[in-house]
Amino acid sequence: MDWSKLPLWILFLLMIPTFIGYFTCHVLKLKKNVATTYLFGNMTQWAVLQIIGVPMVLLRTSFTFLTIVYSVILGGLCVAGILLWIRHKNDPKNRIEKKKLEYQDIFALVLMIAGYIALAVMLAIKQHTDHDDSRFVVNAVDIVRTDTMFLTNPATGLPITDFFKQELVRDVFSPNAVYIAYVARMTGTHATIMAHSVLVQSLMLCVLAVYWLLGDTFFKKSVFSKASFVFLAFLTMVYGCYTGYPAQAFTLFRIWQGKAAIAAFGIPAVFLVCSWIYDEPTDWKKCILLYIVILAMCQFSTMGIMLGGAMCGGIGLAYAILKKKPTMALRIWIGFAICLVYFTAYIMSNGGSLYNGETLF
Amino acid sequence: MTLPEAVERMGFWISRYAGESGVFLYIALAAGIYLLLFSKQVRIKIMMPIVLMAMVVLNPILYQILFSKIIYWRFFWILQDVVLIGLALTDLCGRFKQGWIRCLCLLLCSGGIVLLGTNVFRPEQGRFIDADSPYKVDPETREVCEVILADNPHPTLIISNWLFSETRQYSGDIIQLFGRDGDGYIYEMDPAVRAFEREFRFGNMSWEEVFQYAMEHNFTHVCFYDRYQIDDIAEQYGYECLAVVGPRIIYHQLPG
Repeated sequence: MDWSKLPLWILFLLMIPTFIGYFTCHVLKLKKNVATTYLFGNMTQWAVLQIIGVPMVLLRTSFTFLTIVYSVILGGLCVAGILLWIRHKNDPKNRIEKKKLEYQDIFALVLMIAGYIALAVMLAIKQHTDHDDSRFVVNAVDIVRTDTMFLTNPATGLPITDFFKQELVRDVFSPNAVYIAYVARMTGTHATIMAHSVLVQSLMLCVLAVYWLLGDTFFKKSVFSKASFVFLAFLTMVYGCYTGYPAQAFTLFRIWQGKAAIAAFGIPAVFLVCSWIYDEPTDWKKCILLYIVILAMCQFSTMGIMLGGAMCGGIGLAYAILKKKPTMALRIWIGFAICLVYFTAYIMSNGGSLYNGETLF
Repeated sequence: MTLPEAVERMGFWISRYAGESGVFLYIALAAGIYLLLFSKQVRIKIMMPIVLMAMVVLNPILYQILFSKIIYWRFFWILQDVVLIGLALTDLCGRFKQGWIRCLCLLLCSGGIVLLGTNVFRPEQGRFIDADSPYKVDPETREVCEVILADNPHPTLIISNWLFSETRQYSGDIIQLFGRDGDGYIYEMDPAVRAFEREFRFGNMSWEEVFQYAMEHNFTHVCFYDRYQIDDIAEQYGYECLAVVGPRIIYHQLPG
């Protein structure tokens, strides 16, 4: 492992997302802490990539062009985040509430931190190989190598002219491989190493953040409960992989693959943000956060388009019934509409057919 | 697809998802019921949407129309068993007033998870091996690729079996005749390549035919998964043995 790249990994995978997240949280008037800024900073990055990346892929621009445009946007958001942080760091609203920790809080926190470190170490020193990487990871390798996006057959390495075929068309509308290629290029890391060894740790931090925030949402002021929830969740992940199908299996085995990221923290993030919307149904800013998360889900995988849309539809309907507020459903269903746009584009690119090879998604 | 067939297929996928024991799936269902009954916040914000979505996902009529055409079992991810188990057990632990009982409850819950489950990182689970390199591809793949790339930094390769899924992960400079598209994934194959691939992978081609093809199409390397060295045949077509890597034999094209 070339550890000389560690400062660049920290910059692109930790610092930049955190400052972008500070900007996002400030604009959307969210509580600013490490978990919210890191998670929603990454979500913002992926949402931006979905918005600009899909048209650029369709227009067959070079990867270099996308890199420049994406970097300018992320750089602008990051600088804005840094300036806001400098300006507001002494703001009383941003001060971390000092709370006296009881011994049970410390006990649970120690378990949580130890459990997470143990998991991170295991994911670092172990490997799981998956044949799906012959498309997901190799797409990123070829993007860096050829400076084109999805115009190379990852199975052979030969150039192609039509990416609206078979499985490759899914990557056109969910260009997660472009993100892997982007961070690989910006840090000078081989795309396979980036996916398998570096991004794993960054994405597991997103899992940690979303679970902490879920704990914060449902257990509010109890540090013991928040830490216990995260610890128990990670323990269940490690000991509860009953087959290779459930979300926890995908989380541990191949989180760098878009569909696995959806299972790992995308779906929990949708539940998280929707829970916030339920508490403040008239707050449009929480809805915008939901749309950012949905766009990130679409970026990860066409499965994200399906699941994100299904979740917005189901959660919106459930909340509208429970709160007796139809407008609440409509606001959440805008997330469904976002997914519908990409779903429609995907179907149209497939000649109006639901079928693409054996299955749709 | 008839309705009984749809129900049968749904049952097939549920049992496949749950596996032989599926105990954690049942624990997740129990956790969901607990949260429905005892946690108002979770009931409203998470469980009711999950119940509503489950009514859609587990609907045989919708399976007939839509879910049979997609990767159905991925919709079970909406169940989020890790979240439900975590929330239920944490809620249970938090109901005790005394701190030491809470800690004890947490330890008991953790012990229960450990005893009922299996550590996925244990070697006997067959899911993980020790990381061989930062690339985290199979060690055999890495060794084969290193030999080939040391010989030619831009090789064109015919390679058999599962290594073709990983060689291009190690280096995008490797061009292959076929990869996982041979299994029907990724991208459609050229019919002529498909014909060769079918014969080659199922052992229906003679060594002479393989090397003839490789020579005609100017492949720089051919890698077999075979015990037999066939140097004399290879030499007739301008190839020689480059290296033997485990059970793999790598031939490279002679210059000129």
